[in-house]
Amino acid sequence: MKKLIIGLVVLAMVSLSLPVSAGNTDTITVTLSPQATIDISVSPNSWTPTASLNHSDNTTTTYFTIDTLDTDVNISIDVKASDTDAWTIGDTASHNVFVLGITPDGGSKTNLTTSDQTIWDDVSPGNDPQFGLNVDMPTTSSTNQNQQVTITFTASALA
Amino acid sequence: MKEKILVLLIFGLMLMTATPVIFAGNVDNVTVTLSPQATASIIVNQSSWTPDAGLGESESTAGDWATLTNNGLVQVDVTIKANNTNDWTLSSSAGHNKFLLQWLVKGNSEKRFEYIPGYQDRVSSVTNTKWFGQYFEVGEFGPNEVFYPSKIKFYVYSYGSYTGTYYASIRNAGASGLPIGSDLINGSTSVSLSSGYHWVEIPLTGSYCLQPGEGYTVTIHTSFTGSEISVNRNYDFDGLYDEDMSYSSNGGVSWSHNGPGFGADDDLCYELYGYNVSATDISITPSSFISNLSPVSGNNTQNFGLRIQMPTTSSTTQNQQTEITFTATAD
Repeated sequence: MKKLIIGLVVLAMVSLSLPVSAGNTDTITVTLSPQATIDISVSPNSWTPTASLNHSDNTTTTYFTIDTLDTDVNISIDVKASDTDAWTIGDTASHNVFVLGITPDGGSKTNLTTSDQTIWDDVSPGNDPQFGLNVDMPTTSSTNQNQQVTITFTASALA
Repeated sequence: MKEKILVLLIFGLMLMTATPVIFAGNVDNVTVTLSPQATASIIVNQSSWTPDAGLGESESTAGDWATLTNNGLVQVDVTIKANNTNDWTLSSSAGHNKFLLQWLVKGNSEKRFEYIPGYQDRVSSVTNTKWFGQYFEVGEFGPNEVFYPSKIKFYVYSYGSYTGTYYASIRNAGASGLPIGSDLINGSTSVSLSSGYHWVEIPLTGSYCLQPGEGYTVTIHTSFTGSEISVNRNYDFDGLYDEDMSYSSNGGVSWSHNGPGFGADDDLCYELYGYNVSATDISITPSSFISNLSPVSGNNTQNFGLRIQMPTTSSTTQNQQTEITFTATAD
């Protein structure tokens, strides 16, 4: 028995002192890419308010729907609007200045600008947001011609 | 073989670590069409004018006699037209049964019209009762144009350091070239002068239109009661023995060509400034009156005046009426 214990101790000492051999472990990093599809479509794709100069108009907050279609990843949606040929978009209506606001259903209104603003920051696939628009027409105008505004919705995958 | 596997492995890893592909279709638009639906709307604050001019004469209103205002919400263009009367026709010049009607708009650049150059030759004291005047015809030395006088300068001599008020006016001229009637336009200014010769500039208030070729008078008086200030004469500047300098010893009530310190061929030193006038014929067909008149308060008005040249001769002595129509169209 004593010999057995001594033998085990010696064996343990030998194994601790053995050098580690190089190349005996390796790793493979596997990066998984969602390669997501993002596809949105807004409907209806036009609105013609009935408001004349110095008046306002709005839709219901469920008037427009952003269909997320084949989108299979959570997204954020930025929105911006253009000036018209004769008018500029602003925060308060005045001469040749109009206000265009967007209100997500159940959310609060944001006045649009010519720069992107994130209106929805986390939309999961299959969850189609709805929203409404409101407009304050210019108080006065240098033209009586119809003016067109383009509202651009841009969806991005969450990082 | 091992090398090929290694290359494929690295390539595969590179593919797997690439940015996730975002497919097209992540952008969509909504078009909003805004319709102003505005109605052009204007208002003119004068509804009638009854000139005093008789046959062969012309007359103008002040340059700001009328104001056209865009009282709508949209920018407009405005045309103007008038109609013939029962017996007379609108024309580009006056003639038998033909009259000329023009709209006048005051220009922006001030310039000198009539004048007698400054000359250091004192006449006599000009006071609150001792007034001096000078006859002139538009176009005599300056441009022969319709214009709105804006200021008169008089060349004076101060016998010391005095502060006082200087008054100027333009009056019609009688047949002899003397001032008659009340002031057509006038103004005043308070000035402190040191001893010596000075030009004193007196701004005119209001708006009155002077006619080319027509004769008028300028007058000057002061608030002084003694011999503080003297006007100056330019001896026979116009080369005429024409009695066009005048004097009143009773505060402008009566005038004569005989005055202290000047003769019949002397001229009173002054300069008359004014604004040119854009005069456009009105015809029976609409012509552009104002373009791009803003609806914004402060920029939504256009002042104008009217000028008429009566027919030289007429087939009737009945009063005649013409109607001037302003039409606004939204831009």
